[in-house]
Formats: sequence, structure tokens, C-alpha cells
Amino acid sequence: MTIGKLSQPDAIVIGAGIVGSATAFELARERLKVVILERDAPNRGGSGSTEGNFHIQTLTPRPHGRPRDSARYVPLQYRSSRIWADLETELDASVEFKRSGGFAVAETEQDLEIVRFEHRLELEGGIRTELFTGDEARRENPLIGPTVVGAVYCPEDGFVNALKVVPSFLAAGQRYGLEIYSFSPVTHVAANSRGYEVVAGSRRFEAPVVVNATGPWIHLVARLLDGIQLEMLPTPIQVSATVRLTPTMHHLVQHVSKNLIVKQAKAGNVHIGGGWYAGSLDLNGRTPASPTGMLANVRLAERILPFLEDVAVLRTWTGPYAVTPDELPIVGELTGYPGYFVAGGPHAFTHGPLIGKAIRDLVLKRPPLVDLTGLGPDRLVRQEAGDQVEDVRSN
Amino acid sequence: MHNARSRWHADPDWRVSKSFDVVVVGGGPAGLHASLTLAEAGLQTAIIDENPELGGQYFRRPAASVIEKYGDLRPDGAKLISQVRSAGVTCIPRTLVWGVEGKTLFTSGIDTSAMDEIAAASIVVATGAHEIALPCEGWTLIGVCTPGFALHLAHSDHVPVGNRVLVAGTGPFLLTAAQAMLDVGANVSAVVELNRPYRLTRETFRAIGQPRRILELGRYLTNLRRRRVPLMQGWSISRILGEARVNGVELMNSTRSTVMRIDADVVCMAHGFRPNSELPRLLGCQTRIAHFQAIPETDELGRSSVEGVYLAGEVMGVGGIETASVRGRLAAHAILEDRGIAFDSGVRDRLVRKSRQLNRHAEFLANLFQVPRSAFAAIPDDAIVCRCEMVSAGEVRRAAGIEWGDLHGTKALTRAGMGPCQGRECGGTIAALQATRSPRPPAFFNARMPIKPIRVPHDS
Repeated sequence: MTIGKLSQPDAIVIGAGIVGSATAFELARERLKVVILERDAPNRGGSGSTEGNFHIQTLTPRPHGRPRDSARYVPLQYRSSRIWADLETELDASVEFKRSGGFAVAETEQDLEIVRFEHRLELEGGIRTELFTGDEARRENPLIGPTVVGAVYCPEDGFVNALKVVPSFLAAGQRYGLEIYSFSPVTHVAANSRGYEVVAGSRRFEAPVVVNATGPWIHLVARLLDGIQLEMLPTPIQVSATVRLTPTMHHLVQHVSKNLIVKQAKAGNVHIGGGWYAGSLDLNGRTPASPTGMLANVRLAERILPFLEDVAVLRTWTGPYAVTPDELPIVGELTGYPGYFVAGGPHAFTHGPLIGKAIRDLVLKRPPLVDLTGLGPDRLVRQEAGDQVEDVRSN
Repeated sequence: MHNARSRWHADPDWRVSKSFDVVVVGGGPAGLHASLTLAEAGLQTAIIDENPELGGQYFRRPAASVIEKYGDLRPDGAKLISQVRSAGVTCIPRTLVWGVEGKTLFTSGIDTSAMDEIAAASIVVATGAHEIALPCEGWTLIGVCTPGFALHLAHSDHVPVGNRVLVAGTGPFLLTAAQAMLDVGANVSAVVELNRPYRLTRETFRAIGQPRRILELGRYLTNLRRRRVPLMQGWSISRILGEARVNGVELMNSTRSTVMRIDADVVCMAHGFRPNSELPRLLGCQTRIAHFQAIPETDELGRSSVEGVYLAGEVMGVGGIETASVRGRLAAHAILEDRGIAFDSGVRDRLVRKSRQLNRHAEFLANLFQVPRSAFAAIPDDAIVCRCEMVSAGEVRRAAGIEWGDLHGTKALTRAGMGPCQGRECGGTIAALQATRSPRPPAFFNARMPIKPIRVPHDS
């Protein structure tokens, strides 16, 4: 393959999902010359296949059920809530922002314990949430079904159209000179005297700053640089949409322990997502949706929101979800590799716009807008060789 | 494959309620012939179809009262269906196959929404094809339908679809539909054929490999002339006129230099057929893209790229009734061979030879009646191309022009293909519009489950 002329931007962002495009936009707005490289089309991975919800209360899917430092999340959620509120103005585009408020519903005594615990953390962190009994929840939202015994309500939860966010970030970035290269998989990353050399398709770049924002592919892209091993647990998620309905459901409704999230999008389709896994994850192709998972998700949704029993399911799609072993995000520079940043991890849709600003601060050596202690990639570095993708497929 | 899920939650109740050697999906001529051959060879075979009765489009059974009064137009259909039943094939009508996992088919009752799972060692996909129409201004008016719909109304209920019917688009099927309209007493104001296929050229003589087909078309043409129905070749609809209902059409010739108006209360319009390839694509079968449609790849006998999955009939590309029958029997022979069951190889070889000949003929017709790229370019910007989501050609063209995007990105930005038909109707048009603006290789919307919208009842 012939490699084209060398290009020398100030920063190279790898991955055009929400984290990559937000980061590229923030850096371009600071008058840096930025290129963003994407293996497929932008927004084709997790960012475009998620439901598009921003969860300000701390109850969000925890696919591996591992203990998580929920308290560490609260300040990130708090700050993200404000950033989402201003995003349409910042990007000068509609992303169908709706601050709907969200219920996290409990069906068992165990669920209620989780609700109370997280409610306390949120109060301490300054996030407004309210505890309801089942009947109170049904009074607030009559769509909620009889099996619900309690709920926590967060008025700051809401959603946007996930199909519009990344294109809006990119279009806004282009106004500041951002260069976008889609269908350009990165095949080579190496440190050199000017920072890093990156090859993508037939193009060669060199820059002092590289941001690995490849979501579920973070560990695969990291490996291109000196074989660095990052421990990741990418997970296949699926979402179903019903046919369009007239406006029926105002709030976001999620299940406290079953990881299921339901809401009615602006177009009128009800999204039912999370819950049961899709088929086996395929990071090189399309992950098949699972009909059993779809049935289980829809039946659970019908249990907590009985009006859905009469609604036809229209389609189901899958997407990869970038999970870290401690289920905390990754935001930081890799020790030993100055200028090489890793950004992403779980709940990156809610946190994406915030992470973009945080990486901007780190690149420009400003104090970051949120405390990033303990969120850097160093904690995920493994010494032994191994293949995480194989791990997910065969376990 | 299910292991990943167990890390999140315990598997939901997993039951496979029925199990067969072979499940044939689609009860048209191809599926019927496949299942008959398989059952006669002793394989436990089931045939699933969405309709109340087997037969598919071609052998759709007319209402009993229509048969009594006008006779059975296609008695060989009734005979084939009864042969299939007496051969011991388990017939599962009124049932939609909406999803797959491995070789388990997930089904939903058309009337009951009852869920079932049917396991198959081998699957024959004989899901057929459906007509597609090229959008134009006014094509969403009441009174616009496909020739196939008009044909069903005529055959099943002996009812003309309108009083003054205009048949337009491209394909030999337009003549069949026009003839059926005349037979049930409608006036046909014109047959408007986009291409110029009905000429005596060397090309046409090549088609004489299929004399029966040529004679049939010749009969239609003679009859149209006798009934003074104009056959306008090289013409197409520029606008369909009317307020809420159709009252006429405006036609243009190929250079758009001449425009004429014709009165009509119904417009039957189609520009060829689209294979119903969702199920094979969900099963993982490789496809190729031709004329902006996804065609599953198979060998000569109908073996797909996925072991144990076979294709038969129009889902492999349109070929007509005889082709469908031959392909059905070929797929059955492939299964017999792969399962080590004895069969008459002389019969199989004759079918292969016949199939080659029919495929050549089908290819000849496909070239004669193809939709040129200029026809897609002629779709005006304000014409709705995705009727489910009301997306215009202009919106699609704008999204297609985004330099970093592709077909799927255009779908995401415009919602074209996101409605109840899931792009079955508009997919080819959107792909064609995308191709005019984007350097990406030809693409096609992904198949998603459920294949058609379904209700999910609670576990009983």
C-alpha cells in the first residue's frame, strides 16, 4: 500500500463516536488543528446505537454486576447535567433535547435498598432526587404498573436523539476547521520525536497529541502502540423500538436492578433497551440481535409499563458497550506516553460531552473542569498478554 | 452464543416447542415444490406461511364463491397444495417468522400474536419477492396501487380495482395485470412502459428460448391492440394528478420533451420486484447487491453461504412460476444430497439444466426491463420517497451528500427506512439516491428483527 503525504495536525482523535467527536470539537474550538479518524462511518458504534438517554441519577446499567464506586459517579453526573442543558446552544443544532425527568422503579425489597442507597449518595452530591412508594410513583406517572413497589425520581434525567448528537458535534467542529476521515481504520501508531505517527488507510499523520476515543475498541487501538494491554469488557447491548405512538409517555423509566430503560422518543417510537444481552459481540462486523433477549426485554417493559402490551415492536438493533472492569470512565493521559490520552468507558453517552471538555483541559494543561482523580487509563494496564475480545466471545 | 447473556441475567425461559428436519418458510410455488419433494423423501417437513392458505401470490386461492361462478383460474395450485398436505407436510399457515437464533425460527401468529419457536435442522427460505414502485409526484394519493394488488382483487374476488385504470412502470407483469383488468370489465386507459422492450430485434429472438412465455406476452399484446388500449413504450409518469384521489396522470417521453395527460381513477404502478431477503440476511447468508437490491448468494442448487440454509424461488431473483417450481425442487435435492439421502441424480441433473436455461431467460428479461439510473435522477426533490416516515427525495439527497457519511448514516439522519415497512419499499430508491451523491460502494439497509412489527403477549 502506498502511504500518502504526511500531514501534521496539532491533535489526532481516533474514533468518531460521542467522546471522540466531542473531544475533536472542543480542541478545534480552541484553534488547534484537529483530525478525527474513524474506521467506519461516524456514530456507527455504541454512540449511535444507544437509546440517547442522559442519566443524571446514578442508577444506570451495570452489565457485569460488579461492585462500583457509585459515589465517584455523582460529581460527573452533576456536571454532565449542566453541559447537556447548554449543548444545543453550543453546537447551534437541535439534538431533540428533552429534560423529561426519570423514574428508577423497584419491584422487590432488594431493589428498594439500592434505591435508598443511591438516593442518599445523590443528595450528598447535590443531585435532586425524590423517593416514592409504588402508589406515589403511579400517582406521578399513571403508566407505571402494579408490580412497582417504589421508585426514585430525578427531574434532571432526560434524553436526546442519539442519531443527531455526533453529526452535530462534527458539523460544529468543521466550522472550526476539524478534518473528518471516515472509513479510515488506524493500522499503525508509534511514538516518535514529534509525538506520534498514526497511519489510517492511505493517510499518514504526525502530532504531539493522540486521543484514543474508540469506545469498545479502546483496547484494540491501544495495542497498536507498543502492544499496550488495557483491560476492557466490551459488551453487546440491544435496543428495541415500537411503532410510533401519539405522545403517551413523558418520562424516562428504568428498572433499578434489571438494567432496562424505557422512554418514548420525540418521533413517537418507544425505546426499550439494555436489559438482556444481544448475541455474541462481533467487534469486526454486526452483532446479531437476540430474539430471546428481545422478548424478555419487551415482557419486562410491559410489566412495569402495562400500556406497552398493545404496542407492536418495530425493530431491534445492537451496539457495543465499552465497559471497564471497575465500571468507571476512562479519562486521562497514559503514564510513559506523554500526549497519548484515552477517553471513554461505560456511560460515555451521558458523560461524552463532559469528557470532551475534560480532555481539552488536559491537552491544554489547564485545571480540569471536574476532578479526574483515579479515572486515568493506568489502572487498566495489564502486564500479561491476552486477548480481551476472545475473552468476551468465549467466556 | 448465549453465554454472554448469562453474565447479565439468567437466561429467560428457553423452550423450543417444535422441531423438524426441514422447515420451509413461504408457501408459494417454490416452497410447495420444495416441501413436497422433501416429504416424499421421508423427511419431517413443515411449511410456514403468513397467509390463511398456502399458495403464495401465484397460487393464491380465490374466494369459494368466485370459484363457483367463474371457475378456478389455476387448478394446478389446488392440486399441488393437496399433494403437499397428503405427503404429510406439517402446514403452519397464518404465521410470521420474525426472528432467528441459530436455526431456531421465532414465530408469531398473524391473528393471535401467539409466540412459538420452531427448530429446524435445515431451512428453506422461499419468501418470494414483492413489487416496488419508483416514486413520483402524487404517488401517495388514494387510488395508486401496484399491479399485483389489482391482480389479486381481480383473481380472488373478481373485482376490478377501478373504472379507468392506468398501468405503468416497467416489466412484463404490467401486461399480465392489464389483461386481468380487462377480464374483469375495467377500462384500461393505457399501459405505460418505461423501457422499449416490445420490438422485434435480435435481442427479442434470443428470448425465444422460452417460446411459451413469448406466446403468452404476444397474446396479451394482441389483446391490448384489439381492445384499443394504447401501449406506450419509452414513456413514464411525470406526475399523478388529483386532490385526495387520483383523477389522471401526466406522462413524459424519455427525453422529457413531450408531456401528455390521460384520465384515470386508479394508477397501478410497479418497477420490478424486490426479493424478500430479510430472513436469509438475518440467518447470516451472504448477499450481493444488484440494481440496488440485495440478492442472496447461492450455488446452482440454492445452497446459501450458511450451512443448512437453502433458498428457493423469487427470493433468489425474479424468474416466474416455472423458475420458482424448479428452484423449489432443486433446493430439496440439495438437502437430500447434503443429508446423504438417496435421490435420482438424473432428475436433479435435468432440473439443473432447466434452471440454467430459465435463469438465462430471467437475466435477459431483467436487462430488458431494468430501471435506468436516469429514472432515479428524475425523481423530483419534493417527492416523498419514504412513505412511512414521509421523507422527501431532496432530504435524502442532502444527507447523502455529506462527505463523511454513507447509506446507513443517511437513514439515521433522515429516518428514511425507519417506519413500519423497515425500508422494504423505499430501500432500493434510497440506495440509488445515495449512490448518485456518495463515492461509497453500493450498500443496502440492514435486516432487523422483528421482520415485520409484532405484539409481544405475556407468557401464558
